[in-house]
Amino acid sequence: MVYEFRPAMPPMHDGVYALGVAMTQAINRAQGFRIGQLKKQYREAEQAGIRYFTSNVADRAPARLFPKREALDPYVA
Amino acid sequence: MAEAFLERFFVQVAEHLGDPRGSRRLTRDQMLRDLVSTEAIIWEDILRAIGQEATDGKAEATITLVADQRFYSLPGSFRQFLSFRKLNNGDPDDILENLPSIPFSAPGPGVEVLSEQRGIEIRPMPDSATAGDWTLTYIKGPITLHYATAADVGSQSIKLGTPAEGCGERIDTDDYYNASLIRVVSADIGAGQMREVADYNAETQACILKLP
Repeated sequence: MVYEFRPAMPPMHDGVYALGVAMTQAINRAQGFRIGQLKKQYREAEQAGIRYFTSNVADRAPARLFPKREALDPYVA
Repeated sequence: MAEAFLERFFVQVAEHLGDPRGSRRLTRDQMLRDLVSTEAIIWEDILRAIGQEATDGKAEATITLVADQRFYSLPGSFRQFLSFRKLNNGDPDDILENLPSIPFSAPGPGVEVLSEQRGIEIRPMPDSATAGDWTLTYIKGPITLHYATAADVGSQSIKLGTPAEGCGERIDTDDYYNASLIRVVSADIGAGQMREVADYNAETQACILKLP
């Protein structure tokens, strides 16, 4: 029997890991034309994956009651 | 035979780079090394996004307190402390004692979480009354992935095998795979099934699986 340990993202969203690694490699190789494209794809895939986790319950109020504000939250892009 | 995540991952990385000559120079070891750091970034983003709304990655490990011993190791993939409880015969509904996390300046009673590498400090020093098995509940961090042929398979357990070259790395640290998802890639029965690991024994490489 062959088994595997899986990453945290569910199968439909686990392509984000390959995009992340490809982005790192593109940066290392200075492939400017690829970096922008991969970055966009990575962000979209990651956001979709995170939405999967944040919406896995519908009957609980969100912990963060106020929207993120760039002036206060350094994590807002 | 169904494809393992890592096999798909290697192909996808090469496709995204779109540079056949350059991709051939990129080894599986390099990709696996970059995967570890990518996993850590994504895991932190998931934790930050879900906050306390969900408890994805919640794991449990048993720590045996000994009288007159202050410091204890943490499980290999520890990321965030949730609780430290002494249960009556392991019954999660029968809590005998609970120790919260405390800052370095507090005398306790409580648990000072130093770091994954340095472990925890129990204050005040455990005595014969507090000695015994305690249950640490925590959020695990990302793990180093691998796939391999199982050395042995039981009804509720899998003895991990040794991954071939380029198929990831097995980490032999107690409780390292707790709460991780293990998937049957190929088997006569049960291919595609996914189960959570309840306990990992590094000495025997046996994963006890959670009941579905």
